[in-house]
Amino acid sequence: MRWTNRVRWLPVVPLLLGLALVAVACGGNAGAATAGDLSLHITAPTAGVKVAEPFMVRVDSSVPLGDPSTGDHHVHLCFDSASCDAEYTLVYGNEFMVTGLAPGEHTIEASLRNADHTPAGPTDEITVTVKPAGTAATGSSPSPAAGAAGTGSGSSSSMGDGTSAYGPGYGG
Amino acid sequence: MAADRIERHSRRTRWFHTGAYLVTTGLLVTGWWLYLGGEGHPTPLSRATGLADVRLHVWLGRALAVWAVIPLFAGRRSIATFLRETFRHDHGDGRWLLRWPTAVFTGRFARHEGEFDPGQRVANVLLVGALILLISSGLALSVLHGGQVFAVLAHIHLWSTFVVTPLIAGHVLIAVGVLPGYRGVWRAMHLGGRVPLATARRLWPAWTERRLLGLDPTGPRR
Repeated sequence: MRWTNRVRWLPVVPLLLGLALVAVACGGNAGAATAGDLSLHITAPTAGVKVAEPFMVRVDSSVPLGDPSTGDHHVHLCFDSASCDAEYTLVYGNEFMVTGLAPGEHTIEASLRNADHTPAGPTDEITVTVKPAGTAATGSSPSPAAGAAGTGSGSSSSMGDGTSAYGPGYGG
Repeated sequence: MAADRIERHSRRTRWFHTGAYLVTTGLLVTGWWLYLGGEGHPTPLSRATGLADVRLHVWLGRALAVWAVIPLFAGRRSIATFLRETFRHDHGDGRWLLRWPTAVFTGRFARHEGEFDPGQRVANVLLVGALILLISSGLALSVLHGGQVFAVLAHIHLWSTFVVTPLIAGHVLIAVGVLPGYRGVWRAMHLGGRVPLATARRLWPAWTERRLLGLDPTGPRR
């Protein structure tokens, strides 16, 4: 068979691919939690407290959090009204160590995200005041989004006393 | 000077190639930026367009998918030629491949009979195959929000990226013509697509002869 005859049917390929994608989409999203089932809360620090850097942000989600490559949800952490769609820090676990915030009042917004980074629905926002660095090193104050850093898995330290897990100086 | 050149690719092929590599460049930049931890820190491209890098990557991917489908409707004869010439095998192709590592620097390639040299044919198979995998997995990812299927597709997408990236880097290295054996070849897809006759004879001797003798269906263009 000549190649010209063989490629006659090639336009069918994208159509089949499109149908396959619809099937994959229907199957792949089946059983996914709907927005109504989801919840996300910032459990620490509590709103309005004074904190010293570094401090731990802890979130409580109704669904498991993980790396997007696992297909799980994750959290976008956004500072000082920055867009959670554009400028954010990725959080793949329930705890996140925050550094790099300048002294003063800051808003912290947590937005629950699907694995593809689209909003899953729930958000939570708190305001905290970062105390001037008394014992910490002085110097530059990078922008919150750029300066925030941490590990998705976070620390496993106890939250029982309400202070130690959030870094030195935390206590409201 | 025009008589010393030969048109390697048609205008339509050149435009298709240009569109594909412009979109692919945007995809590689945004994709690698996201993979290497730049997510949440917008690229200049993201700031310029006002779209988050993730969304930019998705829309560029959809654009590439649409672009890739166009030849299926508007360039079927070209596809037939591409497939026929990619999967051809002639006596002497092995010798060409053996001599290729040194010929890259000396320009003394072994003769082959194809429109594509044997190295190009291997690259065509790998690159087109990996791109089909990359585009289709990306398309499927773009209609999913998460879950196990998403996770599997994400791995396919990532690993096909690891294959495509060095292939494209190698293709660019050869196509820009900085290697002595490939000097002059960059014109094949740019500025009229007319490569120096000496370059064409060095890289695609049999194709050049067929073109000059008028044996090529599209006819010689000098």
